[in-house]
Amino acid sequence: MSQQNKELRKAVGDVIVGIILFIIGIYVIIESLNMKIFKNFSDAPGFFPLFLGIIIAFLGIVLVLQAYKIGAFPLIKVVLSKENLKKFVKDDRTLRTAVLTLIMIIYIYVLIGRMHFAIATMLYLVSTMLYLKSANWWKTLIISAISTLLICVVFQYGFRIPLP
Amino acid sequence: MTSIATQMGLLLSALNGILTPDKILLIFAATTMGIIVGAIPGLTGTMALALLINVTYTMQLEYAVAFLLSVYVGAIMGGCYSAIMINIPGTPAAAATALDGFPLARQGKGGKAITAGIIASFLGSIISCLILIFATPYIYTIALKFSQWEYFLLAFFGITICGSLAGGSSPVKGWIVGFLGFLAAMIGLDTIYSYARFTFGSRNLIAGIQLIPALIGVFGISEVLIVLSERVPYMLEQKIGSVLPNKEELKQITKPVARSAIIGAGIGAVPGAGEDIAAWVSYDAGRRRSKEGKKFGTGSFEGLSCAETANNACIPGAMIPLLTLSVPGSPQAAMFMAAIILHGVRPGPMLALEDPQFLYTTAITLFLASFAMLIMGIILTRPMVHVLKLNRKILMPIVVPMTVIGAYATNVNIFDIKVMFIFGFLGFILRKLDFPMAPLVLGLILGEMADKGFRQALMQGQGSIMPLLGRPIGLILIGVIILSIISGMRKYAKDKAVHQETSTVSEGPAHD
Amino acid sequence: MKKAISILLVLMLVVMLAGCGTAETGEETPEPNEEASGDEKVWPKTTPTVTIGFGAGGGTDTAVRPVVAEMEKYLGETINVLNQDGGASAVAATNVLNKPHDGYSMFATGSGAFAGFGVNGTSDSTWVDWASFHAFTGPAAIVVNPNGNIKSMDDLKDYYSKGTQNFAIGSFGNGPHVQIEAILKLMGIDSVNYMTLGSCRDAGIAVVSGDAEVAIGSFSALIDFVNAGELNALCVTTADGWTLSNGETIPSITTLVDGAQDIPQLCETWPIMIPRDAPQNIIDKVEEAFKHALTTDAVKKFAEETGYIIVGYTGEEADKFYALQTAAYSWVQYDAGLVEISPEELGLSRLEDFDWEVEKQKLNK
Repeated sequence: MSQQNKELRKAVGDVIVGIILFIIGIYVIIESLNMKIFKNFSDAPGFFPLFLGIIIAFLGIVLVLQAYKIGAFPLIKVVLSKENLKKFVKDDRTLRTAVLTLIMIIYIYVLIGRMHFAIATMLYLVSTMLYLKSANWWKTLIISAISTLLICVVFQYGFRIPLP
Repeated sequence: MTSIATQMGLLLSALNGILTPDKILLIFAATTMGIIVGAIPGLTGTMALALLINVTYTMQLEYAVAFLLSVYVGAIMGGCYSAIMINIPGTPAAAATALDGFPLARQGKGGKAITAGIIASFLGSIISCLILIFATPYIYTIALKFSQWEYFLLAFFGITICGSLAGGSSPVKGWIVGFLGFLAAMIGLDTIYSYARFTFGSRNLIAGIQLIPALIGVFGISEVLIVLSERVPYMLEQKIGSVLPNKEELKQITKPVARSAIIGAGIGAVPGAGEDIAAWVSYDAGRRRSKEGKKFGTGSFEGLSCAETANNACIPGAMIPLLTLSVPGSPQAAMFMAAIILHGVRPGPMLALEDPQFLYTTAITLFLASFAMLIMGIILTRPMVHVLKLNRKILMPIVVPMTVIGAYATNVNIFDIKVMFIFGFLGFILRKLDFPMAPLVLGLILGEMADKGFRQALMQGQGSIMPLLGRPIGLILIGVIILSIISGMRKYAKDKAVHQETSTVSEGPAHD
Repeated sequence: MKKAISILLVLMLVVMLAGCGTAETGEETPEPNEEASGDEKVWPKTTPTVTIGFGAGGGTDTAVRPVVAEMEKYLGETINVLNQDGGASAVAATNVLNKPHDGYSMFATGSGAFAGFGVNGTSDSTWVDWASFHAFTGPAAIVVNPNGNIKSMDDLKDYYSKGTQNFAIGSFGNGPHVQIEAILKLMGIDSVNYMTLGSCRDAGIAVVSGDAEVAIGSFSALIDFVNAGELNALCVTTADGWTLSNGETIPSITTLVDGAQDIPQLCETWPIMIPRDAPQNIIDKVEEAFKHALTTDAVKKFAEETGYIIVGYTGEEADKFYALQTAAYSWVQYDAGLVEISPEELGLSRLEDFDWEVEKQKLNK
């Protein structure tokens, strides 16, 4: 039962993805029709995207229909209900994913490029591992320091790759 | 008769030139280096060659050839370590390896899976080397006939594969992801008129979505998120046991080798299609042909072997158009070509006259590098498994900075790191919804080829498709595509029937 | 709750350190390299980098690397070579310009691609921003299948006057395409159907395999087919003809088509470039090393084998050449309907009206 329920819940996800795909497809079609035609339409830049748009929109519809066929529509209300969303937000997996993603975003979008790569990496590793409680704090510090050092030295001097 | 005798003479003198202790030592060292580079997510063979090409300027030709080819061979194989142990392919060519390799690792057969990959790679290289030596003149004429229309058909064939790469979920999801990859490949300046498509006025997007950052994102970042979002991430069993496969497993490994090697060498010989495509096509062919095709994707040694054999078999194959037409079959091959040109070897139709021995030098070097790969690969397996088996809560965070460097290093562009993250996050969400990620990479690789091929073919036909339909190789490809679609639909219908019967005891997806 | 607070603290720490980090890097003064203390190095701080705007193993890459390798030898210092593909090298140009103009960051591209930045709208950068060093010029060649009916430029004219026929090129807006547009204009041929094949090499292969009758491509990409007798070259676009290894001479376009004396100036080069306002001593040293590199046997041999001609433009000569190419390439692409930005808006005069004395004034702005 729970297995089937899970399938249905995923099908609800498919409905949402299907709708998004349909919108993307339509957008791509419009965009590609607006692209410049140099000589023939068949070698114009918009030619291929036009087909892609049609196919993606079509596949979006197929996805929605498939979900409809296995009876996911009545579940949409349940899945998107307040209680369920609350449950989703409170779920510790959601929280963990959100925090890990946030640390990654800060690392990639804020830290890198503003400071030396080694410092940014060290900060990222320490904060992620502390949050995950991968090890106790002093081990975390040591592991982070060693791996940062290794990564930087090996890439910069070993492989002669410039660091960000 | 005389010509065979002269060819043998050339082969022997090439052998003499290479079989010196220092060159063999160099081959071993370079192969090991390649393996390590290939094993690190994001560091690809292309990058390794690009970085090392400077080193070879001062070397003599034979040394440079030995050095570069060994790195190339090692790097393509090395990608399988991380693909198998942490589900993050070290190079694009190893993405298909992860499909079966990682489930095997979770079953506690990580070490064996790696060895299996190495053996398959080795056999693939060897068979393909023989093809290189003996079939080059014939393949040359076919490669010459490969034009834009054929490229388009090859890319189209790739799309038909997407559906069957969907693993447990429906083929529609495979196609969706494949076409999204296609769409992503459209971003940037188009290849014919340099018209900016879907760039939203961003100058960074003009360069398009680079394959490597996208690949590292959807496999690397999304894997890190998936693993770490669990309260208790999975652990790989503690004791490693024997890393050598037993007789039964060996049989599974060797079964698809001949077919996969020929597919690999053939795709390698197509200019512009590289190791990654070879691995996918071979994997798909194996899945269709094998009696145990159903087990593909759940930890099948046969599936693993299909992918690994083909990607390494691709390398000698890629040498054929490189040496005869001076058109490299893959980016790595392009690097190799640049290096030998700098050493005064001009590949192309004149090579057979100017430097007839060079073909043999290349083939023998590849042969030796394959042996080095086999030996060093197996020696390195145990330590690699130890490292990659670390507590995920420690290993996965450390993977992140490596992916950052990998994304950055190809084009030294911080923007690529951001692209990687976005692809990673989207990949994470899609994977949670049971969308397979493999077709995305295929779409990204083939998108430009399909777009360019089709439009350029129509330019050749002055806007009409009719003059193209009579092309012989095109006809063969069209036949293959139709066969592939029919057999795919049959299989799908059959699976569905089976699925409906057993739906009461439906099994969950193996992973995610 | 405790957990949430600890996360918050960690994040705050991270952000704070980010702030400090930026300050730190600002003050950072790299230590002088100890090895350099004796004799003066051109780049004492770190290793300089040449960023090539095209992929590794490509035409630009192969043309630039041997020169840099010889420059390294002459200076006794390492020069990193990086490939940064994208936007026909506009991405790399922008990145190099955004770095400090301290002489540590250099750029390399193909002159045709660079000349097209403005009209393609991919970058605002022009020759004015750079001191450039052009090692080789690469002629283009018109090639036909030796078994076909076209044996001369006159046959070519006949072939294209009988309705629209295919003409194989590498890609739109590349050097050979710009040249053939100009040549066809002079010959009075106005309707050809271009088929792009992706690269000059592939355009040549299309003729070998019979997919096209005629192609134009950079000579370096076709020379070995010509040497092997698989392609027949009707002409090269340099001012002088080219003598093949078997003694045969391919005539120059200037002797075959009336009014073609300007065509050779449209041949592409693969310059190494430094921002013009970089320290003068570094620019001078690079020029010295560059000039030396062109005299070495390695570079000479490379040029001969690949079908390049060593020109060695530097200083004003390089500027003039670059300004002229910018004007010519921009107008050809615009006239062919490939770009929307008019060269007029960019202040570029047509090739016929090109005057270096006027153009030079841009340097003073």
